[in-house]
Amino acid sequence: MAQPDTTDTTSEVHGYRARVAEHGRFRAVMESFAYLPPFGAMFKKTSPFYAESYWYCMGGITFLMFIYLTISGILLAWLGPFWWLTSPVGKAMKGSHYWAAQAFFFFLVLHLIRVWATGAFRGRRWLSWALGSAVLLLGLGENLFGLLARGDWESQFVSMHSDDMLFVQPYFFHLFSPANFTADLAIHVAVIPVILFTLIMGHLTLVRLQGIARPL
Amino acid sequence: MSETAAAPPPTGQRPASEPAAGGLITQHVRHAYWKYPIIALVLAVALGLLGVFAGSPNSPRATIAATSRQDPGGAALAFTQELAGTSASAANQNEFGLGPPGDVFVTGPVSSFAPLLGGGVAAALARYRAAPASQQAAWAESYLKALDTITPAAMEGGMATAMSPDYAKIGTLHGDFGPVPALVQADVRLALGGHLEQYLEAREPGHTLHLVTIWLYDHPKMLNDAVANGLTDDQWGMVKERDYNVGPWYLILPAIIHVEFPNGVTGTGFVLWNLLFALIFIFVLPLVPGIRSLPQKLRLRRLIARYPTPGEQIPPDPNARLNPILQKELEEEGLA
Repeated sequence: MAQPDTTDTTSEVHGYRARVAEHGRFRAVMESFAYLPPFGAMFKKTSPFYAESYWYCMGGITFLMFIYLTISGILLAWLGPFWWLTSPVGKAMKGSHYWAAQAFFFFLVLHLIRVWATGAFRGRRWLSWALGSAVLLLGLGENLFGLLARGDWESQFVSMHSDDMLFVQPYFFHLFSPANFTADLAIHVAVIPVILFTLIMGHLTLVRLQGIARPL
Repeated sequence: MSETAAAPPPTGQRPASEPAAGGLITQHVRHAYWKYPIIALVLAVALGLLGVFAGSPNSPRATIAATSRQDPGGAALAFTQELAGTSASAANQNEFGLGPPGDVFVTGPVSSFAPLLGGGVAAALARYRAAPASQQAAWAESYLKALDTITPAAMEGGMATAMSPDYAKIGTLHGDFGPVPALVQADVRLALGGHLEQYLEAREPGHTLHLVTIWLYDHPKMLNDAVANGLTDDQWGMVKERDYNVGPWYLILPAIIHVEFPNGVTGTGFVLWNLLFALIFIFVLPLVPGIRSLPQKLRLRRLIARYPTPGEQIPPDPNARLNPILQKELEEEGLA
């Protein structure tokens, strides 16, 4: 059999009929997203058998939570603090956003454990580890500004506490104060997410290029 | 996650019992993408249900009016401290757009509302502004000491809460306070009526809620509420939320630094300790010989890798080839 191009979704190896013949119609339909545009060329089609473990899904689920946070965050920002603080639907959306952040860090920690335990940070993959670490650390900062942007009592208290702790120091040349709600919200919805997205894309690109790490 | 094949293995397929490199099956199989939409749907439904039924922290925000009504003595204390330069906000006065707390929170708003406040407020303000700074400070400090005489003592053995003066007794104080009592009591009236909050919002429209929040932190009530809810430094407040059971547990490492490490409670100490841990995490764990091979020695991958179930046949590699990088690495190790 000729060597197929893994990005060629029309090949006899990765085409729909081949997949139906291999694993049945249900699975073939369910995984079509990984074989058709716009994602078809982005995903590798195979992985080592040892990596067919749920542990290896944790990074992907973390990214899924990032997407969920982005979508729910856009809705929250669009409709504003009055909506998310007073409307039942707004409160539910804010609650969902809050739990997605919890899930983001939960799955990120599991992903971190998997990468460390399987030694997937070694050699040329260190850069991917460093980018992932930057995502974790910046994610914690994003979380702080999300807390400050909520507009409840905790936002008030933590903004002043973190102001006393960090921002009355001259690190930011006294230009910024976490007690400034406008700045907090802008940083949370626009500044840090853009940097996070860039880092995540770099991380994913490296994972795509380098493949899954060999066994220890 | 590959499925078990009942038929005999075709060419290139090997039985599960066959040992592979490092005890793992390195042969590539079709990745089980079909589970991803199901996982995504389950998580989306779970998050939606959590959002509806568990909600999120939403303790109502404090306002200047409500805080002052609940504790007018605390408001009087805060305004006096603004004039004396001893309030918490004295640390914020260098921030962009701010200034001396006495001007921002007392003389500024009182001046703006003086025609409506009546009485001798305008005259008191004029007298205060005409006095030298040393005299202004002396009046304020003297009034602070007098307020202390009508402040109940803190309870022994309790948490470190700040006590407020008894506002009902504030008219009984006598001493060389100059115009300070008139200014403070006028500002308390503005605070009680909600006018101070409106003034602070209108004064800095580009700093939404900025000045309001800074003043609320000057009032003893906010810190007292934080103490009562276990949210301060020595109470692991960083990983807690008010009136909600699930907090940011993932901040446990900075919380440990904040509570337990030398100078972790100070801004500089907190930043430097966290920076050190970040550097260890990014550089030492993956790069330092001995430490980087720790997971290999612990053989933790045994708990993570997918192994065939008994009798399971490994499907053939759809590409009939390994990932080029993996192939190269296996060849370098003499495993392929």
